[in-house]
Amino acid sequence: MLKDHQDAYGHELLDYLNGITGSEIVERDDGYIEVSVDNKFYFADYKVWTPHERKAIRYARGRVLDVGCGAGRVLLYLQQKGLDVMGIDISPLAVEVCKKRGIQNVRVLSITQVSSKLGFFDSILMFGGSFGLFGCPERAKWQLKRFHKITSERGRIIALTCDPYRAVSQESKQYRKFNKIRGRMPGQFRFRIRYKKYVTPWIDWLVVSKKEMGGVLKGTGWQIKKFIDADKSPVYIAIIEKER
Amino acid sequence: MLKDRQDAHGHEIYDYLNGKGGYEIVERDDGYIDASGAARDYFAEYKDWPSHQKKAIQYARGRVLDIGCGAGRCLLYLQQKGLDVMGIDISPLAVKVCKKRGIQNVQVLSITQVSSKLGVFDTIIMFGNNFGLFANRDRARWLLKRFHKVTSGKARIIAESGDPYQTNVPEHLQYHKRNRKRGRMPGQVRIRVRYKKYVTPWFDYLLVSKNEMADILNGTGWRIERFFASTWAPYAVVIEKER
Repeated sequence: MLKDHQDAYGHELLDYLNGITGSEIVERDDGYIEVSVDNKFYFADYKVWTPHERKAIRYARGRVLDVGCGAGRVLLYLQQKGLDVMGIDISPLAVEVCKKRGIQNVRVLSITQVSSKLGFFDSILMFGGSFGLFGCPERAKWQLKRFHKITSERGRIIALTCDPYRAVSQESKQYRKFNKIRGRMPGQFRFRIRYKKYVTPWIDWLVVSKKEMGGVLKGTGWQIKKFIDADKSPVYIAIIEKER
Repeated sequence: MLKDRQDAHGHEIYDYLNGKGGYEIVERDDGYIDASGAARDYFAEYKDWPSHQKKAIQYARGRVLDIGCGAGRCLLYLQQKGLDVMGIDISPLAVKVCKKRGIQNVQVLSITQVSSKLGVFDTIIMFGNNFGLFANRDRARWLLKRFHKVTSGKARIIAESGDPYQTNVPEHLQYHKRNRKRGRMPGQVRIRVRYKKYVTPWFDYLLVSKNEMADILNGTGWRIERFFASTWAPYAVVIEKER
């Protein structure tokens, strides 16, 4: 759980809900800094989602867990469709925003706190790049095995990430090299989010190519069922199912 | 002169000129961080300027010095009008951008390097909040006296500032309080500009209300001729020599 002064992302969402403007800024550990997505992205209605997201969300079924639910845009959509949804987020203010927006089942929990205490799920959602929450390949494997235990036989993970090798700017190439030198995966970003005076701790965020994702899943009991590609962007969504 | 890794502003506008997007980020010494203007604002044509700037620039005459000229939007406008203009900027890449855009007379120089070596000017321009380059009250007064010496009898300074008190953002109000405590003017912000991997050194940037500006000018040989208000905190001012 983030402390208030660390809850950059939550403050951003709550401000946006209250009509206060500000920019989410992402600072990488090589000093690279940039303005991240527009705040309104986190509140986007289904009708303005990207086509690949709309296509992928159809795979959600049964009891659904949204990991890193943010302002709850996916939860809201699924709840309206009548699915049994639960959201978790590490940001107390994000959870507050979800509740204010009418999401019934949402709590402050980190991805590592997902356990059988929450019950069984049929779908686990990691939208908006949340595959990154796995942090590093080792933790991804550990986490995937845990997810295996708390999901039904027909359990699915719907996860969005992007191919890091398709970023061709000088800075991106340099960063991948920097990661390789220190024994990390090239797309294993370390960054922190800043918003006004709020700063998150440094976070490891795992971004993988399709091939690398296959490697991460290996031996976890999960397999890739299909990929849904974004149009003209390195983003893709993996529909992951249990091995039979 | 900024080193390349410090030239955040220069890289930003140089990228923009080459069709690459990006935002300038301003980090304040209390930890507050936000995106600043978009790069395209530095390239705005006269017709897209806010009206207080459009009105104030009409006061430019004779030989003109633009301090902190950025991508050269003022210089281009005045050069096209046929005025004899010179621009200076602390950013080598900004100066390069100006040259690429067809500005003839532009040099890498800081505001503190303005001297009689550059000749005598009739107008000094400090647009885009560049009154802030004075940094603090004492340095403002010292520089204004120097400007007095390098300008003609009918000289004018056309500057822009932003009234720091026209805000209700709690973080900004707290910052004013903090500044008062450490004996600084409330609108004396210590910031650095960041763009991608480029970071400027920390610098003081002075934002003043109209009253504070008048107080700073007092005794420097300069006086306020008139203000041009906007609908918000920024305002332009025409400053002339006392007779």
